[in-house]
Amino acid sequence: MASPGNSSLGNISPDNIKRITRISVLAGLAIGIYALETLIPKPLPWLRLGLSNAVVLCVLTIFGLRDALIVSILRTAIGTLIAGIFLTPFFFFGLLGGITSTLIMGFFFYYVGNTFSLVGISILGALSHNTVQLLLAYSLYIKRVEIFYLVPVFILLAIFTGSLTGMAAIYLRGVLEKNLVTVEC
Amino acid sequence: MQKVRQRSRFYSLVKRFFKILTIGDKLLIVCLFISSGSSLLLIKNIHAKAKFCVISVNGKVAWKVPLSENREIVVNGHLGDSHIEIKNSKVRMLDSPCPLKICVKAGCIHRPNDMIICLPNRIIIKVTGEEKLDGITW
Repeated sequence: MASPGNSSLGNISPDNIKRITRISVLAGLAIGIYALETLIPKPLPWLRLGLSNAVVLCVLTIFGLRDALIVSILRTAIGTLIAGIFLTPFFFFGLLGGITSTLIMGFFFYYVGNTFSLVGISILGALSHNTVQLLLAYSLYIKRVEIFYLVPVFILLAIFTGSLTGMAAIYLRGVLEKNLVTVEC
Repeated sequence: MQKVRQRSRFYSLVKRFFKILTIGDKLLIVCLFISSGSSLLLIKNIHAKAKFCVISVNGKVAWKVPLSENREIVVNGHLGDSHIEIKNSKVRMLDSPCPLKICVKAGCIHRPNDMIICLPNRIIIKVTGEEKLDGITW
């Protein structure tokens, strides 16, 4: 490990180094989960559990919105690179959906925080992710009203995947707070 | 013994899940379930607006029949006469001179944009919704 103040690192402050390391570790965790998730067989190609969203949610609650956005974008970019769908329609769906869902989760966490637990915020994130994907698919690729017949299915899916991800996020937050926060900061 | 342990573990997990949920969460989940169900009903109602059955032979529209009346139509195609039945606002191919009878096996159709296609006899049956309005695009 390079010590802070080493000349090869320029004038990056120790706090910044800590933050960069933290983001890299958490983004790595999210990418690993994303890559493992693509191995799970699924009936439809765009259907996924979104467990890597739990990492983003944890980062959001512990370190703030900016770090969460960075982790979310890195997760989609590198995760799709590993899954082999980089720069395909799925990549753009995932990228925009990830950014929007992170922003919406951040909004609800900071402004309506006490009303919802992490499960509720995660459900809202999954819902916004699905909505953005549906709107994008409609406006860019399919252009038929019939695609909105999928809305009830997507809402139901958002409830189930969102609550699962929220549970995972609560568990992960406990682990992270015990191990990462106390050691690093 | 093992099975009992597994079950109790699952039960405690579910119990923990419901303990975590706040009132806002529960309201959100109930609202989402309701909106999902209501949008499903809405879509069913959109489907119910099927009105006409368009039968084309050799690419040209030969018949345009409202689905509301029960009748049997005999259409003269490339190979011979096809019998088409409209009953209870559903359309089906009763009999066809084609060799594989795929159009007969397709069964009843009733939703807008559903189709029965008989290639050997060159007949296309299509259900449409509102007159002159096949779909809406922006």
